[in-house]
Amino acid sequence: MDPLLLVLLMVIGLGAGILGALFGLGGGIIFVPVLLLMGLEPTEAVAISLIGIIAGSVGASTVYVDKGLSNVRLGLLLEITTATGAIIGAIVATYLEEWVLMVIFAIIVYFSGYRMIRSPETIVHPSEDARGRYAFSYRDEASGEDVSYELQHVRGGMALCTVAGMISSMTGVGGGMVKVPLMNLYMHVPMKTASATSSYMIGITAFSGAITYFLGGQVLLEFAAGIAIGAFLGSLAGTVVTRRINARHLRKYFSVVVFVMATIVLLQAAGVLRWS
Amino acid sequence: MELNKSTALMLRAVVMIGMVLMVAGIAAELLGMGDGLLHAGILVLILSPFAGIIVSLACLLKERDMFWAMVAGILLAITVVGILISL
Repeated sequence: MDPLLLVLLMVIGLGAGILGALFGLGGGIIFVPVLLLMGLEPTEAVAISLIGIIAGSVGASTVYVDKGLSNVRLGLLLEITTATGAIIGAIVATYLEEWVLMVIFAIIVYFSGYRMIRSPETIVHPSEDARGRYAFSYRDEASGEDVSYELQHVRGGMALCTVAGMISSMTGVGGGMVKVPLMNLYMHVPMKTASATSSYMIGITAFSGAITYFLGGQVLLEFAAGIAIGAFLGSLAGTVVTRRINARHLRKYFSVVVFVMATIVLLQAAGVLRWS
Repeated sequence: MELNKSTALMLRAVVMIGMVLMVAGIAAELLGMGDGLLHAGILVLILSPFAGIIVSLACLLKERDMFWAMVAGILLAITVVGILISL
């Protein structure tokens, strides 16, 4: 492989890794178009993208999970219905028009991004005697305070994650853009924990697809390694920023990023943007 | 915090092994020594989130946190079923 191409792949991975770690997004929306523009087949691009997503997710999680920013229990819980939704999505995908789903997805993302800008974050503090299974806390290193919160609408959140998993697997667009607002707005999870938990979850979501492609021999090894090394390093850099940034600012920047991404999805759905 | 520390430790160990194998694999590939290391490195990386769930499950069982252990167990089962369906 051309060493220059390898460096280019690492730089792309680095950028996606930083973005992923900051906002709990996977980076598939960056990886796939770039790889298609490089002349790869869609299947090859998706397979490499999934491996890049795992590298970024696990890289960020080595810090977020260790520091207690990722809520592992919540991640495992929501991942159950996300994975179930993904399986259902893969089965019913052939019966639905992809562009319709992409438009629905973009509308949901626009709406939740708008809500995140307009409405302030509300955290439900556990009552003094609360020892419930849904009461958690984390230490915010930026403010130096311990933040306690109690999950709200757990069943509704799980149900919506099924829908998020279905749409993700049918459109190939990541669930982070939906899951972070879902956790933050609906389940009242603090923004930093929502994005760090999403970072942790997307690696698990990507695992099933990635292992299937790998066992099927559909992974271009050098491309995948270049992207993965970059994404891993980028994610570590992203965690440094997240730990220091004010949670309110993180929430605002997240909205801007998802507005841009939802617009890209809409343009793809309309056929204005074509990558191959 | 035991759950978080142990899960993070496992993720760190596995991803570092994967990264070292991948870097060595790229070097080997550039020197024309085949892609065995690269293959191994990518496989190890892909398996890292799965290894994390297994450690989380073990920790939750050890802490006798049965509700959350059940959650981790169900997720493991669904993940395996998902892979078997798509193979």
